[in-house]
Amino acid sequence: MSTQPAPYVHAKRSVIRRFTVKRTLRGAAIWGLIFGLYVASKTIAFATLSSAARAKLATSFGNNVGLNVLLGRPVDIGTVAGYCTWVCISVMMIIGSIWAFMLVTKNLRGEETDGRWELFLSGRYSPREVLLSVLSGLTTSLLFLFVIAALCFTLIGHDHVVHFGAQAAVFFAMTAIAGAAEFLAFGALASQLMPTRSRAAGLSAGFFAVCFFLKAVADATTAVWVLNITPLGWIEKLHPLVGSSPVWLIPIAGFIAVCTIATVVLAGRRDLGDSVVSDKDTAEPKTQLLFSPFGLAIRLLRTSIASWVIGVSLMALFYGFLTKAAAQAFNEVSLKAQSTLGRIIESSQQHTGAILYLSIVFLLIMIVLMVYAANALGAIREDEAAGHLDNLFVRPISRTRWLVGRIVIVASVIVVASLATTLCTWLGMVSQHTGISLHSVLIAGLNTIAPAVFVLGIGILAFALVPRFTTFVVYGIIAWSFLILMLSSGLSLNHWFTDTSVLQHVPLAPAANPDWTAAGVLIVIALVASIIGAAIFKNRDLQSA
Amino acid sequence: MSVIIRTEELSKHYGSFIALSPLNLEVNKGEVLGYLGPNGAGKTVTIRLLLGLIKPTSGRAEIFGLDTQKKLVDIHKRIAYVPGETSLWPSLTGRETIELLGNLHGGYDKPYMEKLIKRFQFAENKKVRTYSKGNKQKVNIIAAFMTRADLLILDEPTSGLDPLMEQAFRETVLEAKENGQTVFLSSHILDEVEALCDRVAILRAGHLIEVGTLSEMRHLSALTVEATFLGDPPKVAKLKGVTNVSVTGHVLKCQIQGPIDELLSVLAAAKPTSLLSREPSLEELFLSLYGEKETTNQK
Repeated sequence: MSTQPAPYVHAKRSVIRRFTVKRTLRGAAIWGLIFGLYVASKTIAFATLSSAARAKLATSFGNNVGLNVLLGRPVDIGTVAGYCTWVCISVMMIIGSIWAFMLVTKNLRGEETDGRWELFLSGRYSPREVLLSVLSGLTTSLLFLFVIAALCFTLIGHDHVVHFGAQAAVFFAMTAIAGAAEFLAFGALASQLMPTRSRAAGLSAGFFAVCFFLKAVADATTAVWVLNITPLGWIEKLHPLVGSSPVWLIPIAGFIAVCTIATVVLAGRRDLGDSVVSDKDTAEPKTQLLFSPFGLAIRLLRTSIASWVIGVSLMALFYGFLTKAAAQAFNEVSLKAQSTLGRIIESSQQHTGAILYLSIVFLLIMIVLMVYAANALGAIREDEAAGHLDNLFVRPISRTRWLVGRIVIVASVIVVASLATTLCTWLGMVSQHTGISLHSVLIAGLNTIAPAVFVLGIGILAFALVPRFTTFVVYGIIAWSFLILMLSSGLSLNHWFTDTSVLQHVPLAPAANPDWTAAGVLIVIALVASIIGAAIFKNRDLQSA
Repeated sequence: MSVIIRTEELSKHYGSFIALSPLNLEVNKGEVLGYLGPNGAGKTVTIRLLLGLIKPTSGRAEIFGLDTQKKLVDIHKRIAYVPGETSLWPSLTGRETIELLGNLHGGYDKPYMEKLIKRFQFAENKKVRTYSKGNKQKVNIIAAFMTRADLLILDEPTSGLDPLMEQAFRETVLEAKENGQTVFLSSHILDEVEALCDRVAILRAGHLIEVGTLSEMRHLSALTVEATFLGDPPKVAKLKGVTNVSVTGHVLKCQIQGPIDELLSVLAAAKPTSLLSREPSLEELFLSLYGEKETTNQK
């Protein structure tokens, strides 16, 4: 007997939620694993220190204003659990928060402005149902991140030198993802308030900066009460592994609930494509830059470029102000103990604490510049995927000329941002009378350029060869390099393995002398990759999304 | 008459899928060529190959006598293109976009641009993100025609336009034709092609199946005949060249290819009360060509 196919397929109502999960689960899993590896590297590195070294580190770092601003106020820093909490929670909170608001603004406001919500709403779903389905999908992915992190932390806790229980590991994982949960909720609200994805992400980033600033004020001054009024402060007050205070989960849950309710209410009341903050729909023409592809790129990217340069410069100024305070801590601990915060130097030279602290600051600047290069390459690929390049290349514009123009813009921003951060770091330091010369800081600033240029060059090659994987390749290089750097500071790894990290080839100035030969090799590789990439791009098909 | 576009065995494959079989086609200076075919026939692939946005698997194309793979920028200085799917920069206004596209082309006729803005009733100071599909298409049409380029390549140019704007578009194409410009028009709208084009090329599943003027095609195609009688219509199915005979009451319909005298004699002998004959429309030609090929393929 033959079976007849069903005449009509009845789909479940959860189709939007499952669709969202499918699109976001892999990213969540990767971050869960990175959190696990990061905590493992930091914890095991600290656990291998002698008791005396731990005690000295606790004394030196315990009341240090500069490090408190970066990592929060430590509790029981002399213990493995205390140190692990202090060093890891802030980093995971920052990464998790940014990941979450970028993800939610893309999936809510981004999908709406791209017109895909119309397809959902023309079916059997109301705006609130679509919103709740997407949020539920994102929450599922976040829970997946939590589960992976919790499993990793539980395994780490099983190590006899680390030793914390499964319950503590789960609470630690919960704290690690609390920032992501808060900013998932806030990003959803921002997506109702703002008319475009970039502005929703910008509002979320601004709110994050304010929260972080308040937390920094609370951690650096006697106004500890300020922690009580900032969502990031509530996370710090959870103190996982060291006298946990789960009561602070209440304001966190309240914040998430308020943001979610406001989001649902606003989503149900507004028209599709509308927002609380309306956008200007008309404008007088301003055509000053609209004469060439280069001018067009400047016009379209100028706000983003200014944001990156100003943002990284302010970060440098802020860290510059903290130099003297942070330097005291580094003066008092051994090199091995310093290395648990990251790779400081690979020389036996004695350095002042200020020099060591600045090396870490310039490492951060180096990574930010690499991320900028990756972000800019993502924008180049997006221009092709969205079909904008068709508008250019059907006119008398050579592909090579266009690509060189974009490379020049990104490379120029890297150099300008590097010089601006150098100047800002120095200005911050001058007020602290650290005695470090502008020349030393300038050398350290120039040292940050080569890795970002390397990412740019390899990214151009990836864009030419495998355009749809451009962002995956460039962010992969950065994540891999950072991960190897973190692991190599705590674990003994084969140099063939560690050499795969770009950051491994760049001595951290000013503590170590810059290796200009290695920097030159990175730039030459980037140049060759760019030339090959441009040649391939000239002769390949344009590929839409 | 000089040839503006010439393709020689031009083809494009994506793996085992043949998007365009070896294509040999010529477009002459000053003519409007209609390029027809259903979805997926290979029209846009042909256009993207001519524009150099994608590379051919084999064969070559020349525009203005220049190889499209080697002299792309020189060719593009004399081309204007209207895409079927629009992807403009959402943060720019319509006016900014039009002027930008004109500048990127290397220059444009500003008074004509203003005339086109008025003709298409275009709201130029609004941001592109607020435009409907039709308004975005107006940006592309104005930006292309204001350049007064020697060759206009138009891919489904009226998609999204209302009937009034379609009329404005036809007017603009006819102006370009009077001006001596060559137009390569890919379209689904057969009325539009019939009204504007000197020649028509029909594509099917990547193969070019017919090229010619409409009168040439009509000459090769069947004539439709409809006759009404007081009594039963005569038997005509076995006459030479007669096909598709249908009888509804006292009305007979059929098609005939070739000499018509024998059919007329039979019909006249049966004393018709009315007799109509007409040439096939482009739509009928198009459908008949597809029908034939479909039948051939099925065999």
